Amino acid sequence: MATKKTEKTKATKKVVNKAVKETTSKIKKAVKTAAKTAAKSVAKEAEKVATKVATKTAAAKTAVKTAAKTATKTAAKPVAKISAKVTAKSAPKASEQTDVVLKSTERKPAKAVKVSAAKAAAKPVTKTASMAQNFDPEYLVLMQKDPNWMQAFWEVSEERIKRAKKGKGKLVLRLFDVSGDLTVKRAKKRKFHDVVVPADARSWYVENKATDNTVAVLGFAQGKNFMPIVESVPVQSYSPEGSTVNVDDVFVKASLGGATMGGFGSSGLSSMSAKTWLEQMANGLSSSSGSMFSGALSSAALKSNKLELPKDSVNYGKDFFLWVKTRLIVYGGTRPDAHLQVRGEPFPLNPDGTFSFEEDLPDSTKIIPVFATDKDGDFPTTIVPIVVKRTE
Amino acid sequence: MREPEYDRFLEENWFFEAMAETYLPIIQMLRRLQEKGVPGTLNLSVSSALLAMLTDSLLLEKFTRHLHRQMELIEKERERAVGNDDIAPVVDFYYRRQVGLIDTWERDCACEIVPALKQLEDCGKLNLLTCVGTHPFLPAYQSDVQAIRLQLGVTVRAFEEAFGRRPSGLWLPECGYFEGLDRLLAEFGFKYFFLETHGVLLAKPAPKYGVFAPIKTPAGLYCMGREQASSMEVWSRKTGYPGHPEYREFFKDIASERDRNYLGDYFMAGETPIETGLKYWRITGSEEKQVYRPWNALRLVEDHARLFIANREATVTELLPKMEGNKVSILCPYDAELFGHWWFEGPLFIEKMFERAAASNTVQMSSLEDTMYYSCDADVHSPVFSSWGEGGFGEVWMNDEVSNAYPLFFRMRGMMEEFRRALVAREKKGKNAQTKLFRRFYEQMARELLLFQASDWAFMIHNKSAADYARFRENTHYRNVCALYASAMTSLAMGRKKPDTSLLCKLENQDNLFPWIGELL
Repeated sequence: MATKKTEKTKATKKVVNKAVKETTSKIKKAVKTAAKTAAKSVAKEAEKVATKVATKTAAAKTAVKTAAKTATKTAAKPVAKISAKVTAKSAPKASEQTDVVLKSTERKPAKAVKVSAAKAAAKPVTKTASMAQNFDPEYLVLMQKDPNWMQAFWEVSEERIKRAKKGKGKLVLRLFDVSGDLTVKRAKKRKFHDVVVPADARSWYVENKATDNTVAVLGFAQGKNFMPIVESVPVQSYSPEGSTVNVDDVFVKASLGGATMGGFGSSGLSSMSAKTWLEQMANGLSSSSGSMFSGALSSAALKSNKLELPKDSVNYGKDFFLWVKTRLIVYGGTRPDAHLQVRGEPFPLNPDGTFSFEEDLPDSTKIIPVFATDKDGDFPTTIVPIVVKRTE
Repeated sequence: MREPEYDRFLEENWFFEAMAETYLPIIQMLRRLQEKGVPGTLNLSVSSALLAMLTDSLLLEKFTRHLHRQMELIEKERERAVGNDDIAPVVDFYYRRQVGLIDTWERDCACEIVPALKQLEDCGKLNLLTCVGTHPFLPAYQSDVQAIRLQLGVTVRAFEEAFGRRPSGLWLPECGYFEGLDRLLAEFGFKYFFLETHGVLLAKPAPKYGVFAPIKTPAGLYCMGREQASSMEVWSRKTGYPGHPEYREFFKDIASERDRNYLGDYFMAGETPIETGLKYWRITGSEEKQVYRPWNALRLVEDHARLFIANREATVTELLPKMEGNKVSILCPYDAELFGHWWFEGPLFIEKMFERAAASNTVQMSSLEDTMYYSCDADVHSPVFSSWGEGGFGEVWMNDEVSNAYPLFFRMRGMMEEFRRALVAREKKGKNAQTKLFRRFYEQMARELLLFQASDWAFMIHNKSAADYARFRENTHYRNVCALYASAMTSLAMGRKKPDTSLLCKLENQDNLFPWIGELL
């Protein structure tokens, strides 16, 4: 390791341009054997997967194909340019520094985007600077951004990519769904889909399709063959499939901001799109928790009362029944221009400054904080009616 | 972390503001509660980065000086306000407040804050939790568990160092969680943590009582989700308590109303005035600001506290019959700096809230130690990927504006790993003064890497608040790692006698947090 580094550094002593070539040729040699063996075994595995796919029914095949196609289409959100953009932004910062070492290391991100860019920028610099500049990491990582999208980041030398490319293969990100038993995942044939990426990209958004665990491999795909270059560690990707939210659950509504308490429709969830997520999953959480407070007894509320089997009821079958329910009317008044809050939510006043609302009153203790200030926020005043209802 | 070279620095001022407006007033408030015998415990999370600052003697010394500089300015303001019947009472209010602050700081705390926090914990007024290292958004580092382990190791060590015990409760930066993180937390002995509402609601299987009971995760940790109603009552832009017209206006500091000669050099950073903390106006509800009336605000705080408790009582009363014998637990988490810094009256609000709760038959202000392990959902639930940021997942810290940081991070990781291997190989041949020096390089690289990881940078860029500064910090820490790597690696690989240590020494003095980090590497 150390000797290799020394050789590398010696090379960079000369001209940086030359150094790049030399280094890559060294990497070539070093990687060649390793890559070959690795490639062989993985190619075998890829073949296995391919055979498996081939044995499936024709219908399934087309389905897979179309899915892959749409994936590629929807996933086509290039992000390579951002790193270039930001590098440009950060460049003026470098000029504030007088230290040569710092200046030259600052250029490094440019190289991460394109080797040609690095070449253009590479003037003879100090040895230490070129040391950091020639550092060539190789990695591929997956990050989940939200339930729909993951972002892959990678760095592989351009030479490496060129070498790996044989024939007409396309550079792809192959995403394996490795959900299930992690310990035997390598031996297992796994579901995957490919996303074609441009050779100069260093980052790409991919749709999250796995149910649980995802591994990404960057490589060249040509027909049934796959030549891997770099692989990510598995990422536990979240997809809402395994989660269930019971829309009518009183605790769920209360967790989201007091929808149970008299139906103040506002969900306080700070993150609107997360709320949308919940709603989608819950299939209309918001509609089921619709507001029922403002003034009159709404027909919706009545309807739901009828649909529900009244709990406070006595039933003798067909001949006779009785049910008794109670409703609570809360009303009051203040100056017409005052600010009123009921249970922490702003509450509209009638033009004469009065207000009222009513709601079901099951057996319970109800605490209803009412808070008001005058129009300037003066005279803050709280009154808290507490109603205990019991049935005997 | 600190700028030894400059007298005044904006970031230092943030620390001073947090101390003078939030932490000291909270200590004063908890002591008053203790004296009055009011029951209840406040749960406070102190991050490793904050602990590093709270225990930095140079910073604390500067803070003492800061309080006196503020006092000098207030005395000038008092003279200036003579004859101005509107302003004079507010200036007097600040004067008395400052006398109290200095007294608390110098006499009661003996210019140290950590022992004061410890004392409050010992007497049950405070339950101390911690927050991860330099506040990284952990879901972004899911691929690099070693990096997460380093942050968690730092977290435990920093807390132990300060408080003499291992922390059991952990606040996750931005509530950022991914499935499986609980296993890592368990490795470090944590017992409970917290999530945004949907992180718990979407758990697999769905929890029985929503966010109203702690759940047990697969790794055996306990977890609670944030309740939304109590959050919105405080946070809502429209209806949140802190936005009430009677409260003090945050955005109108006298720094922007006085000329620089009057303010003096101490309250200037170059040509930019630095916030003095003296703000004489109330929110008012319009642009024509009216003078702040501290005692009217106090009256309002009492009512808001009463309202807050009444609302919690309503929730508890509503849900209790359905809890199958369990208690209703409500987690109401807020940024510490909201209380006192942003919402000036916030510490008083907490005090009044404790007093109201003491008079309630329904609710109590409970320590998490008394809450997390009891009245739990009986089944094991696996919480899901979530955060409390905009969108609810990772968007704030993973978007096109900020994601350029991650390739830089993995480059640094690569460099450090290469350097570590070379160093270990060298050390096998025998440790000596030179390998010790290389160790220092490696340790400083780790400090710079940790500072780079703070989620605050992405947050600031995303929110366009001091975005340039955030980019500058990211770039600086990255460049520091590159430069340290370059000079140490050259020396190590090329057998040169001694690497250039000028940068190393400068950085060790400046980014000086976690002095023991070498033990964790």
